[in-house]
Amino acid sequence: MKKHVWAFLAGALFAGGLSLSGMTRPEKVKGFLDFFGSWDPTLLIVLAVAVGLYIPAVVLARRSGWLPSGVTFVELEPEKLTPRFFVGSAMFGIGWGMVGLCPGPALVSLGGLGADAALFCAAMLASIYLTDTGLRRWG
Amino acid sequence: MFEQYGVAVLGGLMIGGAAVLLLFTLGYPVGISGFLSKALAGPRKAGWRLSFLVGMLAVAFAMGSMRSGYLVSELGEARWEILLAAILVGAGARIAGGCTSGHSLCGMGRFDVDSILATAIFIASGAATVLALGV
Repeated sequence: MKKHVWAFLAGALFAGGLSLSGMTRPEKVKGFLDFFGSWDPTLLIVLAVAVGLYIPAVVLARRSGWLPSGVTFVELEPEKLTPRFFVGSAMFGIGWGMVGLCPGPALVSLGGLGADAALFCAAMLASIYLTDTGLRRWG
Repeated sequence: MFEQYGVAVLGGLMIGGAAVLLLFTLGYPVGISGFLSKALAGPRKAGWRLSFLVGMLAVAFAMGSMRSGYLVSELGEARWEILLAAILVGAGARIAGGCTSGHSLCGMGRFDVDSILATAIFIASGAATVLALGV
């Protein structure tokens, strides 16, 4: 139960941050990706601040005694750098550049009650599900 | 100045803070596409990840009802483009093993080589797309 409460709070804070940072506004995202036009550095600042806060937390969390008892630092299996990995990353970037939404901000955009965000989320969820099914079968 | 960058810094602190909170209470990184994948596999598999997503949606609908201007109601693209982009984002994130949150925030924050590479490709291919299709 406690896990669910912490996760809920973290999710709420995360969504608030995505909104304030401009990640839910496609024109801000595209402005950040528009290196050869009128580049908007806002999201680089957002990324730098967020990662800058996370790095020391990771360093501390990896040391013994810093995490509360019962909590263990979960190491991630690194992705294998196969051609598939590069293709997947490029697919993600192309979709991100087309509309200016990635998964977190897309979910938050549902709050705007627009049909566009609902369409994006529905297609994204279907795509995640079908890709997972495909990767399980043929991956 | 504050309107553009101050609020963005606050947003970045909240995003990073949320990731730190999850790390220090559950030990896990934030990865939205991964959470969604687990949620679609069934609530039993998703566990607390479902609560994280519900927390996100709670704030999303609160922000929307306040008409704060942070959320847009239209994406300004043709319907086929929205569909295609969403399919690419969903499939790409699963094939790459993460999206902006898992790779660009948490993975880079852990100095994972695969996440740094993925982020570089996200930004490079996103920039190429904006260059080709316009803002």
